[in-house]
Amino acid sequence: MVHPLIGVHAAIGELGVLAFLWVFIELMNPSAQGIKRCKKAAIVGVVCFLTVWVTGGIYYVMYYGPQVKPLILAGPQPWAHKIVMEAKEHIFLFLPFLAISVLGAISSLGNSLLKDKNARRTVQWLSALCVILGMAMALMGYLISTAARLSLELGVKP
Amino acid sequence: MRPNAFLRSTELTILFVTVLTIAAEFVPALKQALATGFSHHWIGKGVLSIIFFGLCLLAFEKMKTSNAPIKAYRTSAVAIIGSLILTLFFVAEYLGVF
Repeated sequence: MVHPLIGVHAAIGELGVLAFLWVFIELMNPSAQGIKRCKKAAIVGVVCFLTVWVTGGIYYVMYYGPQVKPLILAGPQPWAHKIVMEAKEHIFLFLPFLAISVLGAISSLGNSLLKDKNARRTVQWLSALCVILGMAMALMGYLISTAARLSLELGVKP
Repeated sequence: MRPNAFLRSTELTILFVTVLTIAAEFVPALKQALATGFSHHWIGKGVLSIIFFGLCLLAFEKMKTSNAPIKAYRTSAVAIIGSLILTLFFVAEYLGVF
């Protein structure tokens, strides 16, 4: 059975992505109320990515390493761990800091984001990057899960 | 806290994680030290990146250059290039280039 922690990890990650998508869209046509909503969305996004870090870390160390990794390595798609998982676990480490930068920028700039188009574009760029990297993490997770399922279907013994 | 302090700290932390990850693959003693010190090498990289980010934030907060208009292009470029470097590194490692 798939461990429920991986579902929690993925769901909270998607919520974090949606939060930064909200920030991006809100800044397309900003208002004073919109800036407040942006800040709240960024807080939600940062909390989500930090929670994803902890849940993903627990799953990775406690379950993935001892149980799933050997299964994938012994199966027909070992690249799913050796390339995809290795890249995912390290590229993920960029994401919380990018998210904190978005929140920090919105908190520092506040309503000056309404007039400063350059600063607004900056926050939008970084929010878009959080969305793109977050979606990339989900895609990589799908590839890793697929490799594990394939090994199980083929009856691979680690 | 100045917005530029966040952006510059994020850029340096991304570089730190990228360099530390690749260095740990080439120097088994470093990977082992991370694993021994933090129970797992990935946890070690995470903890060190938080400490590094915090120190950068404190340092950049005191710099006058942090008052300059903010631009995300450099931060975005660092994150995208860092991601590509790590992905290509693991592809090369899988293909036995190293």
